[in-house]
Amino acid sequence: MLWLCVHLSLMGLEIVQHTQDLAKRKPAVLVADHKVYRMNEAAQEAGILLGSSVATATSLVPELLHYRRDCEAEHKYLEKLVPIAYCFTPRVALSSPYDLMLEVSGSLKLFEGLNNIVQHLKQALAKVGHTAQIGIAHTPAVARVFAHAHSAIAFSDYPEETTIRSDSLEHLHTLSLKYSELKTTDVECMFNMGIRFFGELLDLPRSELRQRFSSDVLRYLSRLTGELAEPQQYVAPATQFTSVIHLLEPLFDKPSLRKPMEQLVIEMVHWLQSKQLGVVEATWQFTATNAQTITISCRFAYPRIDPQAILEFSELSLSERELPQEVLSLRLEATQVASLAKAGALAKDLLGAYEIRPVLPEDLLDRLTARLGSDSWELLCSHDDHRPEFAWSPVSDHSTRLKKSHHPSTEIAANSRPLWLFARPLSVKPKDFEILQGPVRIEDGWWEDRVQRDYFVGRHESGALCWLFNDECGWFQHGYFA
Amino acid sequence: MYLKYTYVHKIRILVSGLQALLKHKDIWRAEDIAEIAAYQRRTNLPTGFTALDHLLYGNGWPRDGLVEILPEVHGCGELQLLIPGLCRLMGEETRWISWVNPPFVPYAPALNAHDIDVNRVFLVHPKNHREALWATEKILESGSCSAMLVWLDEQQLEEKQLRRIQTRAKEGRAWITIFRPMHAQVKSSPAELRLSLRLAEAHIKDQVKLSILKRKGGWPVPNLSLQLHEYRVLSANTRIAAQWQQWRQQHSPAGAKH
Repeated sequence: MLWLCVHLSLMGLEIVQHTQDLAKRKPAVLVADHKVYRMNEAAQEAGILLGSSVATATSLVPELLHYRRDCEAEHKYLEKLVPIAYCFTPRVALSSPYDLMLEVSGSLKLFEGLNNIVQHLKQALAKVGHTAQIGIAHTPAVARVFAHAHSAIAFSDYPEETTIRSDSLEHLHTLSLKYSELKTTDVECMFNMGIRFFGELLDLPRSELRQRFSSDVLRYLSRLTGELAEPQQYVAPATQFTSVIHLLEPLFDKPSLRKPMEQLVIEMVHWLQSKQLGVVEATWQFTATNAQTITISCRFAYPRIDPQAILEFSELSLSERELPQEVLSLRLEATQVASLAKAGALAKDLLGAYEIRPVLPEDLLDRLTARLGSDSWELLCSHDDHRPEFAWSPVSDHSTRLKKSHHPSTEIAANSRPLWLFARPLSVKPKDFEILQGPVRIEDGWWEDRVQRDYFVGRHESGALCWLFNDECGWFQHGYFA
Repeated sequence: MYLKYTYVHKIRILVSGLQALLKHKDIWRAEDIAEIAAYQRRTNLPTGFTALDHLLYGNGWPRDGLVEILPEVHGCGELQLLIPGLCRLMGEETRWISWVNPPFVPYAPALNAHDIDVNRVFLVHPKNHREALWATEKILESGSCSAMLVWLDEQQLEEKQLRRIQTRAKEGRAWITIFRPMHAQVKSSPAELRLSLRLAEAHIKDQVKLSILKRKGGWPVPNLSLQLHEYRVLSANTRIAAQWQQWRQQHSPAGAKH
């Protein structure tokens, strides 16, 4: 077993930074129980200490930004990161408050080594604005200790199980007990007894320890060494994607919406990637302070997974719509998804290059749909039918057209059909025309729309070549030989 | 001495300004024509009408640029003129052909019969002039179309819009044809080729008179006869048609109403 613990120590603060640019540059702290719980670099430089009261911190830095810690939101947010981890291994577990556990022994070959996995994982998390500390060990408990202590061991790309175990335990011996998950009272007690490091604790005989400490301590030690398994509850990405961002302050204009929108799109792309899906229809909802909601759906010509294009087309759709005055929350839902294999092209690898290069101008069609509406363009499709108006049809869905379309089996002479067809035949007077060719009888469709016409090629007085027909209702023009 | 220096200096500035002007891509000089034409002879797109090819710069339609066609009426062969070129282009490239704001339905079976792959044709129906321009520009920008056929609202069309389309066509490597009414021939245009199509006099009805109003590397050419359709007035055929018409009117109950 090879366990990776991804520890996002600053996650609580980073969530705030997503929507508040200010929290990146200015000193900012996360507050739990009126005490400083986490802080950014600027706050650290200003000399604020973890655990100090808000009053003390504010006296040091008067312009300090402080945010209240929201445990529930943090846990929900951690679940949103599961799809990212899921791209590396199906064995992903959550461990509160800020840890993701990954068992990666089965993924080494796919990603060409352990170091690649660590690197890609860090990059993927950095893209969504998180700095991760990663601990690697043979048991989840030790991996957590390493991640929290911010001390990683260098493993080879394909480490042996015995090497992982011996190296991890050796390294664990040198770490301070303050990174353990034991009760604070127990750790204090050990410190008082002169036991400061894991090594010192592990070297003590267990029976003697049992007399002094509770069974929890012994159980924890067995979990560290791997004598006792630590069952994990694996999580999988949700079956449907819906994500909401509640903004701390309302936004007034479209350009400033870009950032939260991008965040949602990236989140969706990670989910799509973990599910091997592409999005065909995405629905946005923008809610204002007065609960007025605007819904915008973006349809794509083929299953998409590239965040840039999804964002661009969403913005185009948005540009044509009126937004409520003050947008307070954004919601993105993948309303329709399709397997990527259907797109005719697969992503090159599971990471990085998830771009699909379309051969056909679907990008263009999506752009037109986004800005001018889905009825703004159509594709042509020809059918085997003798009736002129049924021998073609407009299609506005690229994929159905590919299925339907075929070259008609009945060959017609190049100049027997006009290039311009009227959508509805135009009633005309026969005396305005000079008949050049005809008649050609077209009679078909007795079961639905009966057509019984004699077609002629005629020249109008103006000189235009026209396609005329005569049926029981009189004479009509049906097109131009343009 | 000082005066002489400023004079020389001024000339130098003038010359360098002129050089810069000559390098501007919208300006061409008669002396360049031969070499550019020699280069483009390989690359330009034959129209399918030999007589016309000889008159055009690079012996064919431009592969990137704006062409204007001014037909007298609908149905005088304005599409027929483009069909051989479009056909050839579709064979050479995998890119698409788009029709922006067509006045009627381009009839798919007829396009098929003319060997145009309808699977690579799409129509855009903009709701107003602004949308039409936007769509045209985006399509050109995307580079996914090798040819475009565009109908714009003549009343709202401005020269600077055409100029913009011309530049975008160069960037997107697309042959774009804009159809304008006959009366637009008095307006100036940045198009590199302008053609008008007129129907011939009564006795040679199966021919159209094509006039080149503007072309690169040459003067306008009036009244070139082209045979675009092959519908001849066959006397026997006419007689049959007339008889048919008469018979129909006598026998059909609805025909009696006419």
